[in-house]
Amino acid sequence: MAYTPPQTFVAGTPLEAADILDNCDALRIYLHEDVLSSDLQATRWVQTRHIQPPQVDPYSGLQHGVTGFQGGQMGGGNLSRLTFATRFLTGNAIAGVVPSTWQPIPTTSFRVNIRRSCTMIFHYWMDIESGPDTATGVPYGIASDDRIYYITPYISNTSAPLKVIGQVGVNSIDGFTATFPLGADVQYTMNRGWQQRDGSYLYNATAGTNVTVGLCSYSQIDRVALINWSIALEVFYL
Amino acid sequence: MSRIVQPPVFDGDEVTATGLNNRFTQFSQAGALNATNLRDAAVDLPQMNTTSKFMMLNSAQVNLGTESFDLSAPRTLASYSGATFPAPAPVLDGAGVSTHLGPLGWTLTSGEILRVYWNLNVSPNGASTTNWRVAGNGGTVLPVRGGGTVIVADSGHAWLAWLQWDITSAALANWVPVYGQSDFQRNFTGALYGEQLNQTQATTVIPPWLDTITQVREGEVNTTLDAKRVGWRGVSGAYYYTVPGAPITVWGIRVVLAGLAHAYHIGNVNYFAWDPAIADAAITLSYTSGNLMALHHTTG
Amino acid sequence: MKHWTVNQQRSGNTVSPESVNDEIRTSASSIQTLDRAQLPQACIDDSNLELYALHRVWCEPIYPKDVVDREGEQNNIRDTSVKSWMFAGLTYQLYTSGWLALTPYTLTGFKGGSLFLEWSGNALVFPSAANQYSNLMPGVSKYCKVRMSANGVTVAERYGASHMEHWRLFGSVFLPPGDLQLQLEFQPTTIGPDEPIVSTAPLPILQLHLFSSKFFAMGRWR
Repeated sequence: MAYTPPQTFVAGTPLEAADILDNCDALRIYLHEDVLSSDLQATRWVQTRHIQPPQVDPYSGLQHGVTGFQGGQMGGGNLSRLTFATRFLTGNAIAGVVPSTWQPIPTTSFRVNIRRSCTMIFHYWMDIESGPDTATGVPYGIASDDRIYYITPYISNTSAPLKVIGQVGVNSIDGFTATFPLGADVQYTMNRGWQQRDGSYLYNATAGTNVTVGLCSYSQIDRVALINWSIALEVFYL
Repeated sequence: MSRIVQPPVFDGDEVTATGLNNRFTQFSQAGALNATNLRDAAVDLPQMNTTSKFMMLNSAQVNLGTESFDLSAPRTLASYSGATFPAPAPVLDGAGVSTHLGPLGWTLTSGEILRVYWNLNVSPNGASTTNWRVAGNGGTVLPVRGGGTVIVADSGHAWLAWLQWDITSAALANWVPVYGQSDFQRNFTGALYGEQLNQTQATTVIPPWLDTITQVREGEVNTTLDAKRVGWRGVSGAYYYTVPGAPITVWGIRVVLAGLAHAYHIGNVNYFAWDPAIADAAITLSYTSGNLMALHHTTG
Repeated sequence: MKHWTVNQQRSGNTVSPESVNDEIRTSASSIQTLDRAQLPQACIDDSNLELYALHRVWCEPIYPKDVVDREGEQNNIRDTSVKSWMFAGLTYQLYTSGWLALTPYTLTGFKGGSLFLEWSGNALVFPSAANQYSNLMPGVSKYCKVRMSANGVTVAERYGASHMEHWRLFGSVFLPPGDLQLQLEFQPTTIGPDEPIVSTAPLPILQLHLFSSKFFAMGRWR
C-alpha cells in the first residue's frame, strides 16, 4: 500500500521529535523497499527512457535487453566469409543408414546466456554449391549420384542434431565434362548442386542456462560450400 | 503523480499540525506513481511481469512429414490430370496421418501478428519425360543454328505448396486457405482453373525440372538439350497475418501440396493455372521431413 | 534513488526548519527518481507500458500493393507481349541492367537499436540460356539477386532464386533513432552476348518475375 504516515499531528498537542522521526523513518523505509505495484498508475505511461538500455555484442551482432536477444550476422555479401561442410569430417561417405557424425558449420552459431525462461527462434539462409564428388573405391560405399548432405540446426552440442528437420542437398555431378577440357559444361545455376534455402527453428530455453544454437552438417560429399549465408536470433523473455 | 508540491518550512513560520501533516501525506498517493516518478533506466528485467507473457503471446512447432532421415521411403504426390483443379494434399507422416499445428486456440486481435515458417525436403521426379517440350504451356520454341527449332522448358511450371488454417474449431475439420491465399480453384478463363498471383501470400513454388540449352550462339541454339532432375532439396515458406479486421481464433495450421501449375497472364494480370495436360505417372513430387512453426506476438 | 538519513530528530533538540525540510526534501527527490532498487518486482507489463516502449513491428503481408490486381508482384517491368502461358514480367526487351527497387517504404518511429528485417517471396527465373558459345565465352548464370537496405545501409543481400523458387532474405543491423527508409531491391542477371531473347513466334521470352513478395521488420530498442 502507499505510504501512510504513522504519526498524525494534532493542534494543541506538544510537538515531539520522536513523532517527526517516526514519520521520516517510515517514509524512508517506504521509499527503500515498500513501493508496491498498486502504487503505480494503472495507465500506459512507462516510456522507453525508463527502461534499461540494452547491451550490444558487436562480434555476434546480438543486442541483449529486457525483451531478450535480437540480432545476427551475415557472410558479408557475395563471395565473402565462405564456410563449408565436408564428408572428411562426417564419416567420409561410408555407407550407413543413419549418419552418426555431425560437425558444426564454422561461424554459424550463437552462444547466449539466458536470464529468463524464453522462446528462441533461430533463422538461417544459405546459398550453397556442392560437389562434384565422384571419388570411387573403398571406403566410399555410396554411388556418387546418390551422395547427399544435410544441414540442420543444433542446440548446445552436435551430438543431438535436429536431424528430422534438416534440409537435404545433392551432389552436383550433372553438368561436368568427362573429356578435355575437364570442368563444368553447364553453368552452376543449372546444376542441381547449386541450391538456395532458408529455415527457422523454435526452442524454449530455461533461465540460468547457456544455450548454443547453430548449424551443423552431415555430408557424403567432399566439398559443400556455403557461398552466402546469414543467421539471426530472436529471443523473447516477455 | 505528481510532484511533491508542499513548500518547505521557513524560519519564522508558525508550525501548525495541518502543515506538518500535509508535508508527510503528500507522499501518499496510491495508484499515482507515473512517468515523472521514475528515473531513466529504472526498469530492468526483474521489474518485468512474469505472470504471463505479454510480448510473445504464443508459439508452437511441429515436425512435418515422415520425420525420417531416410530418403528411400518418401511420401509421393501424383501430378493432377483431371479437368478442373486438384484437391490440396496435406503433408502426411509415414503412416499417412496429417502433420500440422493444432489444436492451438490462439485468438489474434489488432496489435498482434502471426508469423509462420516451414521447410520440407522434396524431390520432384519425372524430368526425363520431357512432357513440357510443347509450345504454349511448358516450352519456349527457339531457332536452331543452321535451321530448325527446338523446344526448351520455359521455367513456368511449378509444384505449389501453400498454407491452410482452421479458424472454426478445435475439431480441425474445416481447413481453408489462410488469409491472402487461395486454393487455386477458380475458373478464371475458358477451361482454365487457378488464381491470380495476388492470392499467393502463403505460396511456395517448387521447380519440377531443370532444362539446359547446352550452347547458345548469336541468338540461336544447338539442338542438344539437357533435362536434369532437380534432386532432393529443402524448400521453405513464410507467411504473416496482421489481423486486418475482427479478431479471429486460429485452431490449426498446415502445409498442403498440389501440382503441376503453370504461369499464365491475361493482359497485365498474372495467374497460376493448373496444367493437367502435362501430367504423367512419372511426374511426381516426393517428400520426407521438415518443420512447421508459428509465432503469435505483439507489434508494439 | 534511495537515500540515507539526512536529519535525525532528537528529543531535546531545538525544532528548526531543517529538522523537517531536510528529510522531506530528500524524500521528495527520492520519490521523483525511483530506480530499480526501489521498484517492486514484476510491476511492469503491457498494462502500463506505452505503445512501442520496447519494440515495434512493421509488416506488409503482401508488398508492394500500390497496383490493384498486381499486389505482391514486381511492377517495375511488365512486358505483356509474352506468350499467354507465361507471366507478364521482365524481359530483356525492356530491361538492360542494374538494381530495380520496389516502392520505398518508411519505417516510422524507429527509436534506435536492433532492426531485424526479412523479405521473402517467389521468383520465376528463366535459367536455360546460361551457357554461351561453345563454352568459349564466360557463361551468364541466371539468378535474381535480392538486397535490403535501411537508410542506405545494406542489411542483407544474396544470390536468390535461379529457377522457379521460393526465397527468403533476412538480416539484422544496429541503427540510430529516426524514421528509416526501407529499400527492397532485386537485380536479374543481365543479358549474355549470345543468348536468344525471342522465341520463333516471335514473342519475347520472360526472364524474371517476382511475386508473393512480403516483408517483416522488428525494431527492438530495449
